Amino acid sequence: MNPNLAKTLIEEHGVQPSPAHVEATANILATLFKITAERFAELPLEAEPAAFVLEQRRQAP
Amino acid sequence: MSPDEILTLSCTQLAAAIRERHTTALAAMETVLERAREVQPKLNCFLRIDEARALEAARQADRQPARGPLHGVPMAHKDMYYREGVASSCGSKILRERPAPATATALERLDAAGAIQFGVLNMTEFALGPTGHNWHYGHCRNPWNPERITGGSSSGTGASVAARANFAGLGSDTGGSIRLPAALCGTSAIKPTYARVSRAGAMPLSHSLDTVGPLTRTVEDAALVAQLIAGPDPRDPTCDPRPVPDWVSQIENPIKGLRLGRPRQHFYDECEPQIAAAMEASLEAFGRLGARIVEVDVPEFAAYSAAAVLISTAEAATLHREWLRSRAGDYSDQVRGRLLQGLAIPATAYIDALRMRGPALAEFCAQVFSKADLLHAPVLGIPTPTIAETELGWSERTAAVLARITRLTRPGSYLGLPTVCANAGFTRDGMPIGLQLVARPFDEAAALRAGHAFQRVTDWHLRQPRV
Repeated sequence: MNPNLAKTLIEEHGVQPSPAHVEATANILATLFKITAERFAELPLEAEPAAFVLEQRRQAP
Repeated sequence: MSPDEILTLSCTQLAAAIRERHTTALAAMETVLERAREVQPKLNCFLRIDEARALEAARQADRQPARGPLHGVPMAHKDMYYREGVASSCGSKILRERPAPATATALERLDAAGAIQFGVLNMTEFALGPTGHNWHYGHCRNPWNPERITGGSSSGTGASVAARANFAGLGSDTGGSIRLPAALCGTSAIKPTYARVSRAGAMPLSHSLDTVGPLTRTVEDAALVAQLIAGPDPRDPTCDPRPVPDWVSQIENPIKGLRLGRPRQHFYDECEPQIAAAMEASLEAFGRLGARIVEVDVPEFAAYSAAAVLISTAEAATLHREWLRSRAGDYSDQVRGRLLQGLAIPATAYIDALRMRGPALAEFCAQVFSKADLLHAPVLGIPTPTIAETELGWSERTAAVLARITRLTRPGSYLGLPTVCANAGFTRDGMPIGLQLVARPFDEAAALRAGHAFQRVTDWHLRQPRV
């Protein structure tokens, strides 16, 4: 993530981040997005958050 | 019964001793209070000890008929379980004077069972961090070596139970906060299935991941305490409606034929040889008990962990946004930095992380639980870090250090799976080695039964640190 974008997004909430926190945010989020990109792209249209609860119940003994 | 004898008892044993009049609630309380005073200067595990109130409650308990299975048992909990009108600091500067709005359901249920709360325990600020550090109240120290971390965020619960200054206590787990202090301090514990235990009156960090559970001296105690606090609660709309099986009465059932899965991937990729050896030894013990050891493949966990971080950070940032605006200076640097990054997470990434959870659970169960009843693995594959090497402000490097600590626990949080922890030995430098038994959703019974069987043939859980 671009550090300027990270700074803008945080400041949009009315919060003032330090330069060190902006840099950390940009780098950490970039890594998280990269790790999850492929799996998120594979999600079917019908995948929805509530499916987790159904899956829990389906897998229960 | 002498104070030394009382301090060696588990909750289950102490409750029986009080019930059968081998000792009294008052004697137990006086003994644990003295022990707490003794260890506190060295471990800093308590944030508050309510001595006068606890002694009076113990005297009353001795005059009354038994209220429940924990009648007269002293307990202290992570300082994030609310008691109406009393401040719960949640390890923070921000909440240290705010009276709690209502009593936590978990505390109400322990009260009803006869337990007597005598204090509140140190924790990571707002439960956000796996080291156990607290920059406002001082770091909690590991009773096996005060230079090493306790693990967190339930640091005080792990340290106090291990040091025999507490018979059992509540922790909470969002990415490893019950399992890590249990493993690093050498206690037993259970992180129940997500939504098995009510979170009403417990400080929220991440609604989608937060789980309430106890750290205890034995797995049998973990079953007892979890049994008492689990089950539907109209105050928590996410709490699962199903009744809770009788884990305590089932715990002695033999484990012959139970299939324990040894993971081929991930858990041993960066594992210290001493820790891997302890895991092998524990598998041999399980084998002697009649369990079958099977090799299992686990899915790629990196995306699970990253998705869990996206969820927990976005949810925590939402809860803290107003204070990040108005009281930013009242957070420690590490916690403020972690919270800030949640403000920059796009809604699409957060929602995708939630959407992936169902398929991820299906994938994991298909791979692991089609071949095994439980996954057997270490909680932490690296040596217990020192306080010095984890005393860091927030940066990318800090995130990497913390991610190594939660590497083997965060996927279980994402999947919401119940997990029982037990001590499986010690490293050559005397630090506990924790094992985790991960079960399918709502099958706490299998993990508790296996953990208890392990403790019947080993004595790691009986070792006490010299504090």
